[in-house]
Amino acid sequence: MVYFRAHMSFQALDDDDDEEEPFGDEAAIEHTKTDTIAAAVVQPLLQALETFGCTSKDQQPPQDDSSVAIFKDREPPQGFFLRCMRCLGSFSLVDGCILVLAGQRACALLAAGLRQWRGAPEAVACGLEVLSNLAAIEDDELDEQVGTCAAVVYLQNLSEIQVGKTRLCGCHAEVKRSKARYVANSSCFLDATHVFFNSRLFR
Amino acid sequence: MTEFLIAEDGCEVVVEVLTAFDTNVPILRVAYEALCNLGNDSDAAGKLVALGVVKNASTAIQNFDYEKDLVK
Repeated sequence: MVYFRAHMSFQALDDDDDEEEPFGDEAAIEHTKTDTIAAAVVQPLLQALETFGCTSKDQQPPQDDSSVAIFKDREPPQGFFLRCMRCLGSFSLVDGCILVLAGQRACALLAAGLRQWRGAPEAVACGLEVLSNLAAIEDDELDEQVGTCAAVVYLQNLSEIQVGKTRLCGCHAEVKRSKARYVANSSCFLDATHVFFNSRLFR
Repeated sequence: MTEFLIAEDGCEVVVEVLTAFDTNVPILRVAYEALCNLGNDSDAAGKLVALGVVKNASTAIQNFDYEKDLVK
């Protein structure tokens, strides 16, 4: 079992938020289970992307979603998309994670994000690399599973494992407490996840 | 996987990036690498051709004939 924490200590970004205590996300994951890690981290990551308006044209967010409402008039923080892409990039190097990404409609979010953040060339390059990795899945059997939409069943099984063995602060729970905290927390968590996935523990 | 990429605008967005960043060699390099992986699937290759990727590629080769990696 591996614990990793992403702690932040800088002041909250909002003027009306005076809280300064350190905060962060924490995850306890069994590092030998690649798919479990992916299921635990991919979902909040994609939720974060969606929260900042990264939706495909046929999948608009519900209007009464509180997280979407909070961020409606707010510009996404600088570098947020890049962090997401780095994180997804780490996942996309592992065939098992690609199955999870496909089941969560990551391709649609990725395409929408590339359109939305076209003004950030570094993020665009990173996003294209993710897309390239997704297209280069090497495991033929796994590729066939993805193609036949077995990902849905696979994900349902993973959800059960996730409940028993992992704990992860939900992005939407953070939104209710403070939008500034959510932004900083998510960014930090993405960085930590990126580093973790590139560590020897994961390989 | 390419079924998902085709259905979820993966091919379109790469071609859009090729057009939007037609003078940015580092981005073009990454985009063509993505195209290379996508193009291994016959369905994706057909979609890319329909989107006009051949014209994009020939223009890039003409404009950046001194960029060996890109031309290759």
